Amino acid sequence: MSDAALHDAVVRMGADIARQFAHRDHDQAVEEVSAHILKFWDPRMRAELRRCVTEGDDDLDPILAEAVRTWPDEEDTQADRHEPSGG
Amino acid sequence: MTLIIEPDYGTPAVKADHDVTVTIDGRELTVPVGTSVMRAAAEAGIAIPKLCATDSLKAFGSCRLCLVEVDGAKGTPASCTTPCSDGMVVHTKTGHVRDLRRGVMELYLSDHPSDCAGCERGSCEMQALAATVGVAEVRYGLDGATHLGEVSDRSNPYFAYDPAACIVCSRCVRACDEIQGTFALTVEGRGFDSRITPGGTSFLDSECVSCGACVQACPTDALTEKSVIALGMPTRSVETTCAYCGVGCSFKAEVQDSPDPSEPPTVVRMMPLKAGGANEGHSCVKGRFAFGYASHPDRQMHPMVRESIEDPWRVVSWEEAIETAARGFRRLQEEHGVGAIGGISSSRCTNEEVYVVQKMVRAAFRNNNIDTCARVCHSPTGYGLNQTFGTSAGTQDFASVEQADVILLIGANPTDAHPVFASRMKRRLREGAQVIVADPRRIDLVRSPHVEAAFHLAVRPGTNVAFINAMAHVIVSEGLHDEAFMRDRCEDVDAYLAFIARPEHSPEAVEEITGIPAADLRAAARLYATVPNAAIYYGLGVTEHSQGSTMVMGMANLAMVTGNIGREGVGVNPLRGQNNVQGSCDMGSFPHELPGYRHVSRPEVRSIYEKLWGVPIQPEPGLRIPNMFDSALGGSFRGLYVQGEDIAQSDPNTQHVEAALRSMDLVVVQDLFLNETARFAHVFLPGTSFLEKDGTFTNAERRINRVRPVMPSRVGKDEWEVTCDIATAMGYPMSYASAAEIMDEIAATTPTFAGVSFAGLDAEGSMQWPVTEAAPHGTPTMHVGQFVRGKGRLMETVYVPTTETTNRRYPLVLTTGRILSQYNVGAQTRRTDNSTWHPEDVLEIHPADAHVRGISTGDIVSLSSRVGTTTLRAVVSERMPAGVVYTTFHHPMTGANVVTTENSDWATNCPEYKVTAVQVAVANSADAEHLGEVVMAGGALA
Repeated sequence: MSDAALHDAVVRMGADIARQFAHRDHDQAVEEVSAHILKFWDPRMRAELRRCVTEGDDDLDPILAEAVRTWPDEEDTQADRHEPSGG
Repeated sequence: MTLIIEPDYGTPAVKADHDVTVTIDGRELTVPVGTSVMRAAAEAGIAIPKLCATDSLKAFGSCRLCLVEVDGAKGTPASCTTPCSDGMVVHTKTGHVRDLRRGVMELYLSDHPSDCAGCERGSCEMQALAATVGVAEVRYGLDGATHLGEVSDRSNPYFAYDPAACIVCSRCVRACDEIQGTFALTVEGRGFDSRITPGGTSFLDSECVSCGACVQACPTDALTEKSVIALGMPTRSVETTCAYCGVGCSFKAEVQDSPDPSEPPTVVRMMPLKAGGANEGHSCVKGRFAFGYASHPDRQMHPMVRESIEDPWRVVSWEEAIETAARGFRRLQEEHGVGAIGGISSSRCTNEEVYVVQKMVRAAFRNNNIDTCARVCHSPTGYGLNQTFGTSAGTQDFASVEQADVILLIGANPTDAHPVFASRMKRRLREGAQVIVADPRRIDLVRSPHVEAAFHLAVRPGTNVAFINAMAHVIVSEGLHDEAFMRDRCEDVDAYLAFIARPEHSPEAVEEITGIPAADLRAAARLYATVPNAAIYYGLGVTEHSQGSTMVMGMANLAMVTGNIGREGVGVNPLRGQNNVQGSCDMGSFPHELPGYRHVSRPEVRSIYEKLWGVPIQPEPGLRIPNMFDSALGGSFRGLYVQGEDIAQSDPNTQHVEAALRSMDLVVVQDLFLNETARFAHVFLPGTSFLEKDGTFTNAERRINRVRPVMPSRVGKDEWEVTCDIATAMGYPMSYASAAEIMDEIAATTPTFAGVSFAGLDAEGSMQWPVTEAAPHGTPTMHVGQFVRGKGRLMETVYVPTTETTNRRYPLVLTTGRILSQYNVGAQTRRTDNSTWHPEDVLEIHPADAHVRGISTGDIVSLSSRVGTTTLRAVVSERMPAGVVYTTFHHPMTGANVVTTENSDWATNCPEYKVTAVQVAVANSADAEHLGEVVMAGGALA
């Protein structure tokens, strides 16, 4: 079995999200991207994204990578998931 | 139970601000001003004979059977065309009018078959009416000139036209005009030569769309369902709801019971219900006629299992199939973790069935790996409307369109995909409302009989957000916005106004991007902003883009900027594709939400279910459908339960989907047919058709309609029962005594459904959620006074172009859609005579694009994208703009999704079906021999 599909998917999906917020102030964009992924993504996808960041994946969108770095080590908190931009 | 006969009051009901009082046959009656004498009488139980009148059509006054006498008035006016006035005294049963009616009836009968089969079986009113008016014999005989020898037109697969039985009352013509709005029928000739004709050709070759309105309206046997001719009249009716599109039409399923009680009844016909809130007595070719799939020989009636997908199926007992599924799922979780399995619920199933599937996943699978086919259609609607308005649903009821002055129709083709609502829309357009069509393709609502769009904005696929921002830019920069509404009802107003005023959003700046002439866009924006009521209706041409969610928010912005929200005639209205898309989303089918759109991370929501279900609910989102596929290929996702969805045909990039399905250890499919997905299944569980279901569907206007069983489950179990059995076999006992009990649980746990019950729905007919203590009868219009989220949120909707771009190798853009006669992946309609009209998917291509490629209509062409190639037949069409080609996805042989990519909406992963860069070429002879065969990237045949 290959992890390539999941890897490619999280990189692509993460970049799609990052592009949507790229027009924002940098810190705000990072916060939005981080919150959106925490709110909607399954933990294994987040883990794959975190692995990409840890291993220095060059394909990763810079805003996306920075958003992932803001996650605490144990980011799987059960707090309310709230996007700054709305939901 | 017997046949339901809805009363026919002869002329439509009238809404008026004051009443008048009349006396009819000595009875004093008070009715709204404008009510006809015929209707007033009928409402009081006084029947006046009629042939050309029916209450779904305007009064016509041609048959002369409904004559009455009015004190102080000359002559004998037709009661259908005579409005009641204060103090009027009417007599309906005088000797004089009786004599006149007898004379008229004799003339009709002198050209009517004396052995009329319809009169015999009860599908023709003539003989019964003759008896009513007292005609015992026809003095004129049948020796004179008649139409009795004329040849029937049996070309339509569903109904026959017998001119011998026709009395030329024009009810069929008027039904086609006034109800359906197609204008396919006319009266040809004059006097004795007058005949009904579908434009001088056969019904099949005509403009007729087979909605059935003419057949329903015909008072004789001239237009009759072939099923009635073959089987005779039905004897029993069951009120239920259509299982096709999101309009959710109410029907009477009319059946004949078998003399053998162990045999299911035979459905003779489906008759639209006049009392149906969504359709008010109208129907389309799918709901009215295409129900034969439920008894098609392809239907699978027995559970089956197999060790591997290479093995043949083995018919087994329900117990063995359920145990195989449950054991397999348990084993996968033991070996690979709790998150190794998941489920997909179906928008074709009832709310109760869907609720139970998500409960099985959350309580028995103990994860949130539940998703629904709404993922691939309207998930951006959920996200976008929730962000802006606070809830994931359309804002209006369908009747609201009757108050709209301008309809902004974006990325939707209602005459094909939502035909009954389209008829309502066209009626409003004929009354004078205007429509702005934003769609790359020249759909019928751009120009068709008595419909002419004010503007057709042929927006280039993938550029919707640039378009909608430009609309708002014009409105704001020209001062046409409703600042008072914005300040009072919305938040982030200043930030939004500053954002949208930026010059990059001007029509001139985006003209090159969208392909819409700036002047047209400006004029359209002014029109939208300056009428009293402007309403937005949209479809998958909005959602199925990489910016689908942004576009939904952009439309919500437009409505808020102009104050077009929170009353009748306005709003933002998604036209849902499948019958229960709204309901499947409402019922907690998304991996991040529990029923009622409440995020799984909210402890107070989880605790509701944890207390009731006795298990902990996972606080983290689960996998979406495309991520299930990705994770399957990665090895962490190993087992899938699929309820009534054919993901191998409907989801994008077929190669990827099939590889993922093939990689799984256990795929359980519950469906009517061995569909494309079942090729990869290990357990097949036969499903029930809508004729066997007991439950509810929720349509695009949030209307919860009852689905009632016309016959018991033909496979021995209800679908929710099977789901419960799997959960129970996995160690989580789940059982309900009835579907009503499931709805009771939904109501007890979901605030917006708090007042819903089967008993309540049976009493009310239908209800639109929210149904709460404050709104016990439902909520036709949302966001009145305030938004669900309090203030409406104006969002900065930046246009981010898709990454799916054309180049020299793939210079054209493919966009996909639907056609009237077929539905979704075609599993149902392909197994009916609807394939008469659409036997294969075709590729529509602009003449210029066809010319440079040497393509003519009928040629077999190859359609290639970055991910795959398929072959299909070309149709050269000026409906398409240059540079854009179009096809449907109703036939698995064509495999349109072999060429669509995994690009998806940034927020929801709804696939970008509407934008695929492709090349089209005349197929070589070898390819042409394999029409419909598909080639994946890498060369593998599928």
